[in-house]
Amino acid sequence: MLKALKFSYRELDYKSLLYLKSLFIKIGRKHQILAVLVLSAIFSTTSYALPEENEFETKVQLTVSGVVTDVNGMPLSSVTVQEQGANNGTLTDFDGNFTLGVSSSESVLIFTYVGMLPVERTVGGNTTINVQMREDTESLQEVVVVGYGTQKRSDITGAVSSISANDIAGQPVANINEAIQGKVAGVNITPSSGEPGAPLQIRIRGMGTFGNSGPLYVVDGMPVNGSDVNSIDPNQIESMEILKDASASAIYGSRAANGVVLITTKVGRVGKPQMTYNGYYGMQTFNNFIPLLNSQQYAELNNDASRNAGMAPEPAFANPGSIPVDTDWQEVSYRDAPVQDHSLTISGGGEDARYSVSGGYFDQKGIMVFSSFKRYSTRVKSSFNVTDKLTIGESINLSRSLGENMGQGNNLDFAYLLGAPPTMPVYREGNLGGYGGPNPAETGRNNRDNIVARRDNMRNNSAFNKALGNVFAEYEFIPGLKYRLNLGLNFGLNTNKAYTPKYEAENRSVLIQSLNQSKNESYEYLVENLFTYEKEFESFNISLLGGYTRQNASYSYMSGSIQEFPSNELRVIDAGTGSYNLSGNEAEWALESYLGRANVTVLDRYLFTATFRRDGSSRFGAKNRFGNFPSLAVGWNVHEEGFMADVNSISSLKIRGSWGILGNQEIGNYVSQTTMNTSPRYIFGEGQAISPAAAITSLGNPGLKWEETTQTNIGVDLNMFKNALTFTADYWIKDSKGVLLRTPISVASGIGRFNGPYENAAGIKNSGFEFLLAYRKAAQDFNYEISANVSTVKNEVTTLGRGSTILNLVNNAYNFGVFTHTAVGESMSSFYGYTMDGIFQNQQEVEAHATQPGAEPGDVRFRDLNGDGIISDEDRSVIGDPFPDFTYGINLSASYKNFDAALSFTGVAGKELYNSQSAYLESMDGEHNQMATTLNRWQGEGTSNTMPRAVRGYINDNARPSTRFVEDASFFKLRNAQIGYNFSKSVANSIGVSNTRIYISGQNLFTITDYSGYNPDVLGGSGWASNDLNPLSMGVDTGTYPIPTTVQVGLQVGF
Amino acid sequence: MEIFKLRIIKNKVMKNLKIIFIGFFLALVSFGCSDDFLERLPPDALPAEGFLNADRAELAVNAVYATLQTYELYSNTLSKLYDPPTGDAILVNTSGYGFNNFQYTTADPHLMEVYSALYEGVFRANIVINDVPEIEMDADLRGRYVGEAKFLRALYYWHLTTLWGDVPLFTEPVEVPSDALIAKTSREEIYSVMIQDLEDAEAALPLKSSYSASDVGRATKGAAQALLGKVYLYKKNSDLQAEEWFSKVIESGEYDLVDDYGDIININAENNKESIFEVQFAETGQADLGTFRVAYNNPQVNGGTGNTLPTQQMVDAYESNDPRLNHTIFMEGEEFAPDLGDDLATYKSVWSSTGYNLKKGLFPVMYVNNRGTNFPVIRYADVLLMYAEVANQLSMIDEARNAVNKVRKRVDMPLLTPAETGTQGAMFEAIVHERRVELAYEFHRFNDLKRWGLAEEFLGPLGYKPRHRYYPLPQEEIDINDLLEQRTGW
Repeated sequence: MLKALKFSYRELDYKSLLYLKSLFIKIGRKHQILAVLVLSAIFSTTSYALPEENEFETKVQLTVSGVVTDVNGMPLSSVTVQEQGANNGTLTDFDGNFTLGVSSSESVLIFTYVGMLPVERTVGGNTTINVQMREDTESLQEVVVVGYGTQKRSDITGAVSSISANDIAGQPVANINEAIQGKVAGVNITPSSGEPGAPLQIRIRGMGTFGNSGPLYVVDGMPVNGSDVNSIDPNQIESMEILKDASASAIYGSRAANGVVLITTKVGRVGKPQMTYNGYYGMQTFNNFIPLLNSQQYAELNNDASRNAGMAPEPAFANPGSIPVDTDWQEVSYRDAPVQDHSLTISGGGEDARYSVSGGYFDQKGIMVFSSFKRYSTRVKSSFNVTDKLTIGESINLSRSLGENMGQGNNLDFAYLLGAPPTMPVYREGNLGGYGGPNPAETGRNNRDNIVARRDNMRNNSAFNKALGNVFAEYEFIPGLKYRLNLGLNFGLNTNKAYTPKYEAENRSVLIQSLNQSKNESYEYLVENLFTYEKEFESFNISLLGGYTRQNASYSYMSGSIQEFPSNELRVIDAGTGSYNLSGNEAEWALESYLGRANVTVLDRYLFTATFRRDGSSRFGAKNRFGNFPSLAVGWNVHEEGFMADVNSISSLKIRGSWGILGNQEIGNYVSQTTMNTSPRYIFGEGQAISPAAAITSLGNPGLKWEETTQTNIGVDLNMFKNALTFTADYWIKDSKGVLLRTPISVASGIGRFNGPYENAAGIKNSGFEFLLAYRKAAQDFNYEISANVSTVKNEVTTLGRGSTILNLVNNAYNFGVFTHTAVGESMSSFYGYTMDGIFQNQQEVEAHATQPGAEPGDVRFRDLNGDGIISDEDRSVIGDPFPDFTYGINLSASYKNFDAALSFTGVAGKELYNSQSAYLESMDGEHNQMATTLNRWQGEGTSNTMPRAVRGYINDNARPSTRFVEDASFFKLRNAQIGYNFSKSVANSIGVSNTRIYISGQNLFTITDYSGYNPDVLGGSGWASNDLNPLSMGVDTGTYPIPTTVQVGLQVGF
Repeated sequence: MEIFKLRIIKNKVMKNLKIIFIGFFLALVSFGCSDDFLERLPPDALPAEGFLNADRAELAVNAVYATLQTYELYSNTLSKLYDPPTGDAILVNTSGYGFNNFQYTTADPHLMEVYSALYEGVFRANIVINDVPEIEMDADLRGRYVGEAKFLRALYYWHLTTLWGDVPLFTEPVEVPSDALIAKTSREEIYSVMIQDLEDAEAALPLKSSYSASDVGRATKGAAQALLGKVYLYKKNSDLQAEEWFSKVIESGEYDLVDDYGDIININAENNKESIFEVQFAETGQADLGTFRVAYNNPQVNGGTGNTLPTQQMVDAYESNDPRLNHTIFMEGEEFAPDLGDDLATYKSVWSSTGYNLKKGLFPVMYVNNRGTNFPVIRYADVLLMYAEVANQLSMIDEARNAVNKVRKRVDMPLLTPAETGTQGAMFEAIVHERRVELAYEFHRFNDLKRWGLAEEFLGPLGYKPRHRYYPLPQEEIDINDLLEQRTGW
C-alpha cells in the first residue's frame, strides 16, 4: 500500500517540477504572474497532502482481502475499495491486492475506478473477494472530442467524423493524414508527393477560398499549422475528429472555414503501467515508369525535328544506330528504399494521476536516390487530480526530424530526370566527382543536368525541431462549474544547409563551391480561459462554455550564403572565401477571441447547440479587426420518441441540421497597410557603396475584413439491427463571401501584378453530398465490417469583385503560360486553352483552315471557336476542370479467431488534370527527351491524327495549352491491405508479454487509371516545387515525386 | 487508514477559498491585458503616409534608380528583348526562345516582366516629381532630386516607347489600382513629355565633375543632354535639335573615350571618363545589388548557364583584325580564367553550342558571381556615333567621318577616308557597321535597325515582319484594361 503511495507522490512532485519548468518556458513575461499563482495553488494543495494522524476509528469485525483485476486478468492498482455506509476504505496495491476490515458480513463493498464500471459485493461469509472490473464502455466510446471539450456522440448536432487509434494502428504512415485517406466522407486527402517527409494536402468539403484551403489543426487543444502535424508520430494518436460543418467547427470561428481537425494524443488509463511496442519494417518500390525514348529513338526524333525546322542535324546524332551510351534515367534515379518505424509507449495511472509517455523513431529512405527523412519523437501526457476539485496536466510533444534533399523532388528535378538525354552517361571516369554530364559534341544540344550527379552533389540537409504542447489547470467551483486555464506553446526551429561542391560533369560542371545555410524560428503561445457548466435536470441537460483566448505567433528567418572554399571538405560558412549574401525577415500576428457555446438536450431527444465566437486579428485594419461567428444547430433523436418504441430494427435515428458563419484570415500578416519598403537599394559613389532607398511595392487595404463562409448542413444518422448497420448522410452548402483575393492589377500602375491590395472581392460556393454506410457482424470467432463512403463537391465562383476573370500564370521548368482560368459561373481553376482538332495532314488542309500562324502539315490544328478566320488568343475556352464528380472509399475488415485482415480502397471519378509534364515530354522540339508515345508522331500524310510532327522551335507551338493535354485522372486504388495474427494469451504469456500481434501489409498495391503521369492523385499546382500549390492553378500537374508501393511486416507487443 | 485521512484533509483544503480567489485573479490577469495586443506593425517598414521629409527624400529618389538594377531590366530580362532579335545572339538554356526568331506571343512572360518593371520606374519617379517639391528643404538639393527623377522618368519612357510604341502615360503616381486603367497615349505625345522632362533635368542637374565622389552614378547634366539628343534622334525630323544636344555633350569637355576598349564594361574601370550614364551594380553581399548578366552568360564550366550566346553571324560582322571582336566574344583557345585553375585557363568552344560565349563585361573572369559589373546606358562612343549620324543627315559628312574615326582610332582600326565615305549613303553604311561592332550587345542594334527601316532587310530571314516593329502589349494588360487596345497585327 505504501509502495503505491510513494510511487504516486514521487510522480506528483516530479510532475510539479516539470510543470513549473514548462510554465516558465512557455508563457510570455506578461503571464508569469499567472504562472506563479498557479504554482502556488498547486503547492499549497500538495503540501497539505501529507499523512496525518487518524481522526476516525472503525469497529473492525472481519478482515476481507482479495485481488482486483480487469477482464484480461491484469491486476488493477489504486482501485478504491469502500464499505458502503461506513467511513473505512482502502486502495489496491501495485498487484491489485487489498485488505480491508469491515464491520460485518452484511457489509457491502464498493469498488470504484475511473473509467471502469463500479462493482458492489456483499461480504457474506467470504474473507476473500476477487473482483473483475469492466471498462465503462458507455462513457469511453460514446464520447467525442469537440472543440474545447467532449460530448456524448448521441448529443452531437454537427457533422463530425471520428477516427480512432484502431483505425490508424498498424499502418505504416509517416503522417497521420495518410492513415485516414479514403475513410472519411467529404475529406479529400491527396499525397502531394511520395517524397519522404512531404506534407499531405487535406481539403474538407471543397475549396472555399483562393488562399490556403487547408483546415485548422488543433493538437491537444493547441491550434497549429498543417505543416506542424508532420512532427507528430501517428502511433501517438488516440483519436482524430474532423469537424465538417458550422455547428461543429464554429467554436473555432475565424479559422474554421476550411474545417477543423482535432487531434488527441494518447492518454494514460488507470491501471498497472502498460508498455506497448509498435514497429514495422518495409520496403518501398516504384517501377511504374513513364516509357521514354532510348538513345536511338531520341537521336532519330531530334534529327526529324531539325530537318522539319530546316536545320542541320546535330553532329552527335549522325549515326543514331551506333550511339554507345543508352541511359535509362528512371532506372538509375529510382531505387528500392526501406522504411521503418518503432514506437514504445508506457502508460498507466491511479485514481489521481494518469500518464502516458512515449518515444518514437521513424526512418524512411526515398525511392529517388539521395533522399531520406528521419524523425525522433517523444511525448509526455499526464493529468493529476491534485484535489477533488483541482486537476492539472500537460501534453508535450518534442520531435526532431532530419531530412536529406527534401523538397528537391520538384518540378526542376523531374525536368532533369525525364528530359535528360539518354545519350548522356551517368558516370565518367576522370571527371572530378566521377559523374558524366551533357556536352553538345557527344550527347547533343539537350543540356539537362545529370540528375544523379546533381542530387549526389547538391546535398540539402534540413532539421526540424519542434516543441508542441500545453499545460492546464482545471478547478471545479461547484459540481458542474469548472474553470480551466490552458497555456499552449508551439515552438519550431528549422535549419537548412545546402552545399554544392566543386565537380565536373562536362557542360554542367560546377567549379565553384557554394554553401547556403538558413534558420527559421517560430514561436507561438496560446492562453485560454474557459468556464464550463454542466447540469442534468429531470427532463433536460445543459452544458455551457464561455471563454477568452489569446494567441500570438512570431517568426524570424535568417539565411546566409557564401561561395568558394579552399576544399570540397570544408563546409561551414567561416571557411568560405568568396562573395556572400545575407538575408532575414521577421513577422508576427495575434488573435484575440471570445467564445461561447450552449448545448441543451431535452428528454434525450431534442438537441440544441448554439455557439458564438468573436475574433480579433492583427491582420486586418483597425476598423474591421473583429468578426463575429455565430452558429445554431438542432438535432432530433427520433428513436427516443414513444412512437418508435415498437420499431425494433432501428437502434438509433438522428436528424441534424446546422447553420453558421465561419471565417478565414489566411492572408499576409501586414497586408492592410501600405508601407514604404526599404528593401530596394542602389549603389552610388566611387567606392560603390550601398545607398538606401524606399518605395511602395505593394498596396494595402485598410478596409480589409474577415472572409466569411456561411455553412448549412442537413444530416441523418441511422443505426439498425442493434447497431449492425450504420448509415450517415449529409448535404451541405458552403457559401463564401468576401473571399480575400489579390485581384491582379494593371502593372502600368507601377505595382506588381499580384501586389495590388487584398480585397474582400470574390464569392465561391461549394456544395455536396456525403454518404457513409457500414455493416458489421460479430460472431464468436468471426467478425467483419464493411463500410463505404461517397462524397461529391460542386464548386462554383459566384462573384469576382470587379468582374474580371483571373487568368493564372503557370511558370515552372516545364512550361509557362496561362493554363487555368477562374471566372464567375465556373469552377475555380478551370482549364483554359485551345481545342485541338486533329493534325493537318497536308498543305490543302492548312490552307482550308482558319489562318493559324506558322502551321504546316503535321502540326496540331486548333479550332477557330469564334469563327473570325484566325486562330488567336480569342479561341481559347474552358477545356476542363479539376473537380471530380465524386470520390469514394471502401473499407473491409474481418477477423477469424486469431487472424485479422483489412482492405482499404479509395477512388475518384470524373476528375481531370492538365498534364503539364506530358506537354513537356511530347513537345518534340529537340530540347529534351520525350515519352515513347512520340514514336507514333506524324511523319507524313495519314500517319497520325493525334501526335504532331517533331520540329525544333515554336513555330506552331504544338504544345501550347490545349485539350491535347487534358487527361481523365479518375482512379481506383488499393491503398492499404493488411493481414495480422494475434498470438494466443498462453503463447504471449509464456514469452512474458500480454499480447502480441504480427502483421504484413501493403500500400498502393495497385491503381487503376488511364492517367499517363506518375500519379493521378495530385491536387496540382503551379510552381517549381511539388508542394507549391496554388488554388488558382489547381489540377495542373507539374510533376510530382511518385508514390511508391510499400510492403512491410509489423509487430505490436503489449508487455 | 492513512489514505482515508488524506482524503479528509484534502476536503478541508478545498473548502479553503484561497483557490477560488486565485482562480478569479488569474482570469482577471489575463483578461486585463493591454489593448494593443492586436496592433502589429510590420517590423521592417514604415507607413507610406507621411514618410517623405527632408531627410528621407533621397530614399525615394534612390528607389527610382533601383528599378534599373532589377532582374527584369538591366540585370537580366531586358537583354532578351534587345539582343536575340538581332540574330547576333541566340538564347539557350533559359526561357524566351521566342525572341530568337520572332516567335514570341502576346502572352510571353518576358514582355510582361520588362513592361511591368519600366512602369515601376515611372511610378517611383512620379512619386518624387509629385511629392518632393512640397518638402521644405534645401532648394538646390530639392531641384536636383526632382531633376534626377525627371531624367529617369524620361529614360523609362524611352524604353517603353522604343519597345512598345504607344503606351499609357502617367505623370502622377497611381493611388488606387483603377487609376491605371487608361488608354494609350501616342508615342509623339509621350516624346513631348520626355523632352520637357529632360530639359528640366538638364537645367537642374549638376555636371558629372561637380558631383561629389560619393554621388558618382547619379544622373548628370551631360546624361540629360545625351538622352535629349537620342530622343530627338529617334524622333522624326529633329536632326537639328539632336545635333545641338550631342554637340553640347561633346563640347562640354566632361567626357572622352577610354584608351582600352576592354575597359568599356569592366569591373575594374567603372564610371570612367567615357561613361555618361551607367547602371550601377556592386557585389556587396546583397543579392539584389549584383547583376545576373555575368552568371547567366558565363559558360557552365564556370558555374554559369551560358544563356546568351554570340552567333557566327556576329563574329563574321567584324573587319579582320578588329580587336573589338576579341574583347566582345570568347573564342577557342583564348585566355579565360587562369586564376581559377588549369581547366579554366583557356576558353574551349565545346563549352557552348554556338562555339562562342559572351565576353564583353564578363572579363576579367574572376568567378561566376562576379556580379558587381556596371552596365552602360549611354557612353561617349555612342554619343559620337549618334552625332555622326545626325551630322551626316545634315550633310556635315566630314564632321560625321571625324566622329566615327575617333571611335575607330581608339582600337587602331584604319580610319575612314573621304574616298570611301564621300557620300551620305556611304557614310551611313559606315555608321551602320560601326555601331554594330562598337556597341555590340549593349542593346542598340535592334533599335537602330528598326528606326533606320532596315529591320526587314536584315531580320526578315529570322522571321521579322512589319508587326514586329514594336512588341505587342502584354496580353494580361489587355485582358485587365478595357480601354487598352492591342497593337494592330497582334
